[in-house]
Amino acid sequence: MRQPEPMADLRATFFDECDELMEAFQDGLDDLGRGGGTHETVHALFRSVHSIKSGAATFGFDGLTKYAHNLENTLTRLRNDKSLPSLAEISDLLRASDHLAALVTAARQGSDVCDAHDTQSAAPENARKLDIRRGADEQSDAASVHLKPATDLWKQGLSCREVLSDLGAIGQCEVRLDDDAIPTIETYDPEQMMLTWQIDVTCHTSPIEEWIGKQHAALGLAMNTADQVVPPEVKQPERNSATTAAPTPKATIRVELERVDRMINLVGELVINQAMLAQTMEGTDLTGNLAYGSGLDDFLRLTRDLQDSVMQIRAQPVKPLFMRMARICRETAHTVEKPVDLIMEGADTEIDKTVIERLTEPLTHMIRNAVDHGIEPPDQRKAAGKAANGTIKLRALHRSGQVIVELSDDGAGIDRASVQRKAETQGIIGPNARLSDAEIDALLFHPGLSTAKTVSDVSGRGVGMDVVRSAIHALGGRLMVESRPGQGTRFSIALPLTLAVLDSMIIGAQGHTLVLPLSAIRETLHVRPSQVVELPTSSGGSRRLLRYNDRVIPICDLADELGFSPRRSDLDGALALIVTHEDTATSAIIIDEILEQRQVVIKGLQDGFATHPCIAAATILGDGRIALIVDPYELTPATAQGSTQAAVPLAQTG
Amino acid sequence: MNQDSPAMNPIELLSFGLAGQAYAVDIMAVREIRGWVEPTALPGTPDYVCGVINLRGTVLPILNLATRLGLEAHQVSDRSVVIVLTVASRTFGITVDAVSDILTVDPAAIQPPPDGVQEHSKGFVSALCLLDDQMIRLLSPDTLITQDGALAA
Repeated sequence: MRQPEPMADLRATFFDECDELMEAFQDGLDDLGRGGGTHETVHALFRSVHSIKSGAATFGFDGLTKYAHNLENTLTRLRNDKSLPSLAEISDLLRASDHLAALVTAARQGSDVCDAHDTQSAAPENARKLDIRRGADEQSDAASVHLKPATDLWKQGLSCREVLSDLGAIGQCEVRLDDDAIPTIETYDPEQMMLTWQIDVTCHTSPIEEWIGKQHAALGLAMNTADQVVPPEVKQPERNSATTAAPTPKATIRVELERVDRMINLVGELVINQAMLAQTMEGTDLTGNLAYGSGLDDFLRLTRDLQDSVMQIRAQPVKPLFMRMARICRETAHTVEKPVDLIMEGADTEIDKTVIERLTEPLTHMIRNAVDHGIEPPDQRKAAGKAANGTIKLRALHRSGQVIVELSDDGAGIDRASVQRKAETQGIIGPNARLSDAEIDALLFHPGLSTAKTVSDVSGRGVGMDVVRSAIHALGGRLMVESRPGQGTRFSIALPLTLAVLDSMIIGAQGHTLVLPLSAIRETLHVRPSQVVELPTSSGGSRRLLRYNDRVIPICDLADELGFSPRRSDLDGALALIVTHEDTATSAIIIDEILEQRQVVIKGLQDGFATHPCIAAATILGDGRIALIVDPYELTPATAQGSTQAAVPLAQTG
Repeated sequence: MNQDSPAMNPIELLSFGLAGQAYAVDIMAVREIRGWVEPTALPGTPDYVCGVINLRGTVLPILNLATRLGLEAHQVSDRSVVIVLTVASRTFGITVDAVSDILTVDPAAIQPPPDGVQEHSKGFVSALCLLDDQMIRLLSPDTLITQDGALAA
């Protein structure tokens, strides 16, 4: 393989590892915070930071190395201390980890923050309580080195003696031996290195830094691998299992995204091809032939399996995204001085990697908004009889072929009067306009509207929800808002599960072939006239409703809605698809015929050009023609207003 | 292409006929020329959007050029031709009656349309190209998708 810049590749790998290590670090802290941690958790924290430090030193990121080193020292103290860290200490560590993550990001962007003052000023509390930074060491002549060689150090023909004597040459050393790790005599393996040293050297800082750098260059591999438990990339699994009792991560490989994408495209073409073949077969008299038939069935099954597996490659848990959001939540809460608890649910939910990446920005906006605008100040909360700490809930779940990401807060809810006033003064709506709650909520997404009374550091500069909404739309998703005064606000983002395939029902309406997601359809039925109720509307027309079980749901004539043909007057015997949302029937869609049920490959419509809102995407059918994919939720009149819940009052009349 | 002295370089145009009139586009914008296939109608789009077709696995929007230019009562037929254009990183097709020729034209032969015409034609025709016996309208393809927010995102 040609590697024009081997160091660049290694560096990229290091940063990838850093992300995983940071994640592991935060996981550990979360565990401790919930009271579920053990001493092993603290050890794991230490190892994560140590691995970051080692890597950073190898690549010469001095600022990062220094901070990680100080953090490592703090953790060493915690580790030696027999009690688990207190909540206050955990919160400091969380902030320290935020700072560490910021340093990693800075290093990745090529601006290693070397300035010790930066490092110090960013973590003053940490310094006071935990002495995470080097503190006095920085100015005075003392440095502390934590030496933990690899367990297989001797097998690699290396020795610690040189290291220790080198240090002795730099300055006066105070050496403490840590023999905690030495096992009992029964399990003792004399070929394994079990000792660690804590060495305080009296000298100038720079030679120590230099020395550490040199040692890492020379001893690098040995020193690094000693503690690498966390990275899931197990190049030498046997070594890994020998070093620790921590759970062995699964073997993984890193593959360029581009290659995966190419494969996904090819598989997509294969699926279309398979459909074409099946269609061609139907046109011949070969269908009676059992061998052909079963062969084709096998082909179908294999294609589907292949497609599922390929899609899984791209799917990744939303956890890293959530972790990042937790960090942003903490930072924001700190800035605006509102204590906020973040609850995360469904972090294991898997979404397409591209979707995750493109969710970061909108979600960041939303979290900031929730903390800054959503949650009230503590005294106001107390006055309202709520806990002083605000609660923000971030939740991801799969629902009917979609991924839902929900962000809810228990704040004051949308101040609709204020939103309306603001919109009036900014000329977005006319004075004294009479708007429904849903319409007012929709104003939040209007460019240039901000409800915060003061422009803060965090938000309120008038960019926000409209940007969020367009980002979500660009992903083929929808953004919905629900708010109850005094009880909080909930934003839900509904996203397509993948950007690639869909289990669908292919239907015909007035000669047009259309595709509906199978997951949205609960039932198909023939309409009886007795089931239909007609209601006049204010605009002079009428609205038809269908009695379905114990409910009344709106009827939507698909061909009429899409402008293909006028609304049919007689619904007797017409075919209706009952569309459900969260197990609640929301509408009946009238169509002409059901053609088939099949998996289709989703093709995006270019640049989202202005089309009917219910046209979500397109697909290519077996005959090579394009069929449009209809989003049935957008067809429902209630959802068009932006709230999925609006259908409820109507539905309850049944 | 030399950007500094455009006047010196002859430019190449693809000329085509539509409703008995002669038009041309810069050949650099043309990706390919295809026969007519019935497109899939796209609801909620302006009347000049015929729909979308499958161009080797991608979804290609097709504009009825005659309708777009305001040439009334001119329908597409089985004998129409689709010219696939890529403008400003967006690809779309336009329907024409027939592709005529590839012309190499001296920039001196290209004149801006007279005042007042521009307004009427919404800027679709950016220039007129005078050849021996005919006058060809030079289309500026980007206006087809940007004017009136046609396919604007």
